[in-house]
Parts: sequence; structure tokens; C-alpha cells
Amino acid sequence: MSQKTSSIDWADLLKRQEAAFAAAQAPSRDPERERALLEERARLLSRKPGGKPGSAGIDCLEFLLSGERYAIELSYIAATLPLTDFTPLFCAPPFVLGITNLRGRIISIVDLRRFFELPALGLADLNRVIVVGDEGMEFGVLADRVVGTMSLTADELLPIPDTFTGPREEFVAGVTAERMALLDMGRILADPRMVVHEEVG
Amino acid sequence: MLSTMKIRYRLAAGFSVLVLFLILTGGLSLKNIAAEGDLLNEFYEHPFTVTNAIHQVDSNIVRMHRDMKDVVLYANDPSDLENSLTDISNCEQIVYQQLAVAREKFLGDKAKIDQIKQSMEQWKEVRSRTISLVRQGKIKEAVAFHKTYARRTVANIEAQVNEVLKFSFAKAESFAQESRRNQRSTFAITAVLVALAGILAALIAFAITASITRPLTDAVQAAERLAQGDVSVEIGSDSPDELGQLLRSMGKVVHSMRRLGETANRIAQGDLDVEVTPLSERDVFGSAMRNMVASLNSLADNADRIASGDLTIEVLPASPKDRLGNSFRTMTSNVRELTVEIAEVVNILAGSAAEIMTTVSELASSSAQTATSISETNATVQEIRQTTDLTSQKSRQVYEGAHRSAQIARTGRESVNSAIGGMQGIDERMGFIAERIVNLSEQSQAIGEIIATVADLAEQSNLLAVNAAIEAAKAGEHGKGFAVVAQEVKNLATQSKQATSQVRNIIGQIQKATTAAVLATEQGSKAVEAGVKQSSEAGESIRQLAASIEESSNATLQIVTSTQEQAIGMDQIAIAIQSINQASDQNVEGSRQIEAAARNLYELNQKLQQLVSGYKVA
Repeated sequence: MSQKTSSIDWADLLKRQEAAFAAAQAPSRDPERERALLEERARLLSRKPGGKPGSAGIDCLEFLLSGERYAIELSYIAATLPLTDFTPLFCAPPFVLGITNLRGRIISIVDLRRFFELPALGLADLNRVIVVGDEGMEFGVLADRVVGTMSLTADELLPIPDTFTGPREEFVAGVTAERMALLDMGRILADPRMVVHEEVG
Repeated sequence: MLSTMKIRYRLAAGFSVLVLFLILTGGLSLKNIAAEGDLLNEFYEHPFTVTNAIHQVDSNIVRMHRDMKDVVLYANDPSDLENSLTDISNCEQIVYQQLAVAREKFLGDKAKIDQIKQSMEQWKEVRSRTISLVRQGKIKEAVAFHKTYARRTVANIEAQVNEVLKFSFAKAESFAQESRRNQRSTFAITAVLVALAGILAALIAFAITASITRPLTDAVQAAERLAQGDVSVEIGSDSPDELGQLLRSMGKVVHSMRRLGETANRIAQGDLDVEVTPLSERDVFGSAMRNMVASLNSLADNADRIASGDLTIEVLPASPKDRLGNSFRTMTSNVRELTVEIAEVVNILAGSAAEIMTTVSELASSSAQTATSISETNATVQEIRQTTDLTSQKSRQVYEGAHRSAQIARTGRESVNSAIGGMQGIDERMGFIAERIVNLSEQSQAIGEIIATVADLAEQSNLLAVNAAIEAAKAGEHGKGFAVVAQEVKNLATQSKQATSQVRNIIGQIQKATTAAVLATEQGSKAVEAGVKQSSEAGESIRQLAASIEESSNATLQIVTSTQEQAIGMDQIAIAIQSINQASDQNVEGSRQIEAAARNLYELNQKLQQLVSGYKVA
């Protein structure tokens, strides 16, 4: 029993441990790779945005709703914010989720899925509100996720396919080849259904 | 004088004297009461009656006088006049009647009553004159006449009447005083007589009682002493009465009892020659004493015969309760039986003595055999002793070997104990390692929480970047540069998010590794536990081995001790056999002495047989 030594190589283990500690405390893991990354990023940024010159681009914000991609023109958008707190409204149409407080202003939140009669995925923590508005109207549009801003040219927009039916067809300005629907926000804002006028006896 | 009379005469004389006194006292009292009654009667007859009559006379005169006034005053009415005149004549009648009564009973000068009568006659004349004047209508004259004469006459009469009354009151007073005197003297005489009678009665009672009780007390004292058995008391009396006779009879009883006592005393001292003569046929004591002397004499004769060796007599008890006779008969028969039994025993003794002599000769020969056996036993004992020494040596060697084995076992147990201690140390370290690993796991959990916060920040940065891009687009051409910065911020947020997901993966791997490490340490701990258990078992086996070696060591020690004791015992046996040898020699000598003693016994028996044959039994 006393002749048989332990099978653990303690010296090797200790060496690995020291190496790990040293790596954790080092100021930079790989300075050359870091610099290369930064240069690549600078190069990309220095590129001319917009792609093809000549055609007027439409700046819009892309977002996801029920797994489908939608976009809204930036000119209609006031801000995006996380949906933290809201107050449900009774006697309102089903597409009005409730009201929330945006820096002292009370705005209503509209669920476009219900407005378009799409299947609802429920409320996740990632849900966002995109505040849209023009001179007459302002409300928040519920989004599953905000992807980011992008610029579209008019020829990128294709005619609306036949699969777009129901109320949705009315409010879509066009669809890109990547199946992203650009919403016609001016029409939505001007739609009389958005104005809720109901009296409860 | 009293003591010479019989008791009944004494009592009669005493009572007669008392009765005489009683009659005397009673007669005197009665006489006085009669005298008092006479006095009272006289008092009623004379002064009381006279006073009564005179009072009536007085009141009627007053009434008449008043009526006369009416006549004078109310002369106009003829009917009133007539009424008054009738009343006056009635009253006058009563006055004369009462005056007659007073005259009869008056004790004083009766001429005074006659004077009153004369005055009354004068007043009548005055009245008739007045009335005639009234009837003639000469009222004024009538009034004047009445005032002058009638008033004087009436006053005269009143004075006479008062004189008579005064005399009567004086007479009554004298009667009352006489009565009081009489009563006082009667009371005194009666009291003296009663006192004298009391004293006399007491004296007589004392004298009679004393004459009876004195001799009676003497008799009671004598009877008390007699009841206690004291016959030395002397009782006698020369009094002729009943008590004297009683005391003289008691004296005779005492005398005869004293004589009986003297006789009984002589019998008690063993003198049976006394002559007892009963006083009469009915003298129970005397005849009983005579019978007692006779039966004692016959018992003494029987005792004399037994003393001379004649045991054939039969004693007849006087009655079933005759204790002395019964005891004597039992004693005689017992002595007879005893003598017969002694004779038989003497015969048996003769046979036994012969047997003893035979046995003693046999004893001598067996003693010689015993001596031979004893010398053989001695040789055997010597052989056993040598064997015992050999056994003792061998067992000592075995004991030393066992002692060494026990020491080795003790060393082995100590080694096992230290091995168990080492294993327990390892177990503790394993526990320490496991605890540290768990601590690491908890810290990586904290890192995970921090990473979640970082991810949240990245998300918010992303949103902020979008908002910045929107603002930049609104600014149009001026916002282009800002749009680039917003895009860059957005990229950074995306990268941060990716980094956090990588960190989360690494933390997951660390947690898996720590779980595996904890499991491994747990297995190590279990292995150590098993090792401890096995070592304990080995230790227990070594301990049991040591215990059994200890036991066999103790057993060999006992064997050593007992073989030594055996050797000592063998020596003692040898000594004992030597003693037995000496004792058997002494036995031979003793049997010779017993033989001589048996011969003496035989001779003694012969003498006893001669003695017993001297008693006549049947």
C-alpha cells in the first residue's frame, strides 16, 4: 500500500491553475486581432451608405411581429421604448392594449397583430413599443423585437402578394424581396377605426 | 339505767316522753287561741255595736233637723209639709230603736243614754210647737221659735251623743291593747316549750343510739378479725340484752375454732397421735378432722411396709379425688414395674458384656492389617509427587509463550488504531474540499447574476442606439455622422450580448464540473469510510485474539499454581499417613484396655443381679 503512489499529477495541475490566473489578469488577450477588428469596422463605416445613387431612399425602422418582418418610415416615428408598465382600458376595442406614460404624455398602445387579425404570441419581456404619430394622431405600436434602421429604395419594393388578405392588405405600402412589409403609416394614422368613441350607458 | 333495759323498752320510754311533751305544748297553744277568740267576740259585741248604733242616731237627728228647716222654710206648700213630717216621724222611730240597742250593749254609765232620750223628748215638744205655729200660718213666729229653741236643743243632743261615742272608742282601744298583750305572751310560752321539746328529743335519741351502737361496733370488729382467720380475739359481754347474748355465742364459736386450729397445727407438724372428739353429731369440722387423722395413719403404715421391701401391697384411695391416695398407688405400681425392668436390664447387660469381649479380640487382629495397607499407600504418594513436579515445569513454559503473544497482539492493535486515525483525517479533508467546491459553484452563480445585468444593459444600449438612429434620420443631412455613431453603438451592444451568452455557457460548464467534483469527493469520502470500517474490524479481530491469548495465559498460570499446591498436598498426605500409622498402633493398645474394662463390667453385673433379687415383687 505504501509503495503505490497517488495517480494525481499535482505539479501539472498547479501549473495550469497559475496559467489561468495569469490569463485572467492580462490587460489584453490579443492586441493585434483587436486592432484588425477596429480597422475593419472603420472601413465599413467609411463606406457610402444607400447603395445605388440616384434613387431616393426611404429611411425606415424594421421590427418583428409574430415572426414576420415589418418596417415603418422613420418620419412617422417619435421614439422606441421598452414596454415597462401600462394600464388596461375597459370598453376599448380589443386592439387597444391600454395606455402608458411617455415622459408625461399619455399615449395609447395598439396591438397591430389584433388590428391585422394575426395570431397573437403573447407578451414576452422583449416586447417593445414604437411611438408613431403625425400632426393629428399619436399612439404606440407594440413590437416583438426592434431590429434596427435601414434604408430602402423605391424599386426594391415589390407589389403586394395575394397572400396578404384582410385588413392588412389595406395598410401595407409594399413588400421587399426579403419578405419585409413596409407599413403605410399615414393611412393607419388617418384610419377612423383608430379613433375610439364609445359611451357606456 | 338505760343499759340494764332491753332495747325495745328503751325505745318505747324515749318515744313516750316525746309524745307527752307534744300534748302539753299543743294544749297550751289551743287554750291561748280560745282566749283570743273570746276577746275578739267581746270587742265585736260591745264597743263596735254601740258605736254603730250611735252613728245611726246621729245621722237621723241631723236629717230630722234638716226636715224641720224645710218645714219652716217651705210652709206654704201643704203637701211638702206633710212629707217632711212623715220623714221626721220615721227618723225619730229609728233613733229610739238604735238608742235601745246602745243602751243594752253600752258598758259605761247607762244614764247617759237615758239623758239623750230625755233631750229627744224635749226636742219633740219644741218641734210640735213650731209645727202648730206653721199650721196656724204664723211663719215668722215659727222661724223665730225654731231659731231660739230647736238649735239649742239639737246642739245639746249632739254633745251627749259625742260623749257616748268617745267612751266607746276608748273602750275599743283598751280591748285591742289587751288582745295584743295576750298574743305576745302566748307566742313566748309556745316558743319556749317547742325549744325544750327539741332539746329533750335530741338527748333521748343520742342516749338510745349510743347504748345500741357501742356493743354492736365491738361485735363488728371481732367478726372482721374472725373473717380474716384471727381466732385469738377475746369476745365477751355481761350485758343482759340481745346484743350481750349474741356476743357470748360468738365467744363460744371462737373458743372451739381455736381448739381445732391447735389440733390442725399438731397434724401439720407430723404428730398423728392426736385424739379428736367431735362436739356434737352435727360438728362437721370435728368429724372431718378425725377422718383425716385416720387416713393419714393408714398411709403411713403402707409407707413403712414399702420401706421394708414389700412391694406387693395395694393402696385403695378414699375417693376418686383423693390425690395423696392416687399418687401413692401410682408410686407403688411404678416402683414395682421399675424393679422388674431393672432385673431384665441386668440380664441383658450380662449378655452384652460377653459380646463386647469377643468384639475386642477381633479389633486387635484388624489393626494389624491396617498397618500393612498404610505402608503401601505411602509408596504410591511418593510417585505421584514426582509426576506433579514435571507438570509444573511444562506449564510454566506454556505461560511464558502466551505472555509474549499477548504483547505482539497489543502492538498490532495500536497500529490499526493509528491507521483508523489517518483515515478519519482524510475524511475530514474530503469534506473540506467538497465545501470549497460548493463555495466556488455559489460564486459562479453570482457571476451569472452579474452577466444577466450586463445582458440587460446591452439590450437597453441597443434600444438607445435605435432611438439615436431615428433622431439622426429626423435631422436629415446633418444627422448622417450621428447615424454612424448610433450604428456603432448598436454593434457594440450586439457584441456585448454575444459575450454575455458565451460567459453564461462557460459558467454552465463550471457548474457541471463542480457538481462532478463534489460527487467525486463524496465517493472518496465513502471509500475512506469503508476503509475505516475494515480497519476497525481488523482491530476488533486482533483484540479478540489478544483476549483469547490472555485467557489461555491466565489458565496456564492457574495450572502452575495448582500443580504447586498439589505438590504441597502430596507432602501433607505423606505426613497424614505417618499419623495414621501411629494411630493404628494406639488402636491395638486401646483394644487391650477395652478387654480389661469389659471384664470389670461383667463383674459389676453379677453384683447388680444380687441386689435386685432382694426386692419382693409378686
